[in-house]
Amino acid sequence: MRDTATGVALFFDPKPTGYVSAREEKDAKDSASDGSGNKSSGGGGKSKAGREGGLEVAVDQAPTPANEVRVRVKRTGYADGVSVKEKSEEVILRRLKDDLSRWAKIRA
Amino acid sequence: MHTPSVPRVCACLLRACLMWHFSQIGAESLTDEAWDELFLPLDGPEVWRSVLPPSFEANQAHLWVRKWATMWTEKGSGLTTPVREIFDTVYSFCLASDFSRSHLIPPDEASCSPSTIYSDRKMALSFFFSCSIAHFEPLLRLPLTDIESSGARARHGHRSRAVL
Repeated sequence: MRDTATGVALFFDPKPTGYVSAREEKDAKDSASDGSGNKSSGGGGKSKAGREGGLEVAVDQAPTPANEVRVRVKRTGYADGVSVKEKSEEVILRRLKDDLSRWAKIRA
Repeated sequence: MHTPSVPRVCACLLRACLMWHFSQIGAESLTDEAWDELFLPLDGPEVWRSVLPPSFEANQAHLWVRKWATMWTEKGSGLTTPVREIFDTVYSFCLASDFSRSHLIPPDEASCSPSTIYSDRKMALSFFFSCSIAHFEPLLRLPLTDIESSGARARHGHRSRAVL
């Protein structure tokens, strides 16, 4: 084992569009006919967080003699076939760079 | 005949490409830790990193990151796709003294034989070129989520819902 990294993972969740796929519509009909249906289900309102990708911000120590602390950002939680949320990633990364450098200056 | 999954083929190709590449630059002298470090950007993949000044401590940085992250769940964050959930992550990396135990390759993928690699030649070629032409750089812009795979995520240890 080596250094333990800790951090946070931000999971994207697309805004509900109200669109219901044919499969979801069929599932909703089936569950309604069974009498066990959840009327609010049906694609639009369901949270997809955790499958729609995200960014993980990890803090660990570099395996160098100085053991510098480093912050690493990596993609996480993208299910198969899910598109990369590049615009949102850019916004988060830009903000992280700015805020981190500002914090480092203040602390120094 | 069993058809190998895309993650399995990618992992095997990645292993083959990297072994070839590092054999060319005389990497026999690299330690296990150095190998881990070379592979680290491929996990995810990593999209950005920054080294803090020597006076900074990891605990302080972690607390800052946790606090910083909460802003993204608030309304008006300016994101095209909003962030809905934030998790604390705690994990440790396995030593990758041999490739079969690398965090890049789930154990069930490690027994992949060369014959399975060639089952998808088109993907094999494109992946080989993306690895060998410019080392790892192109990979950082690709959605290589297949390589991460569920097995790799599971080895991150435990995740606990923290903020929301």
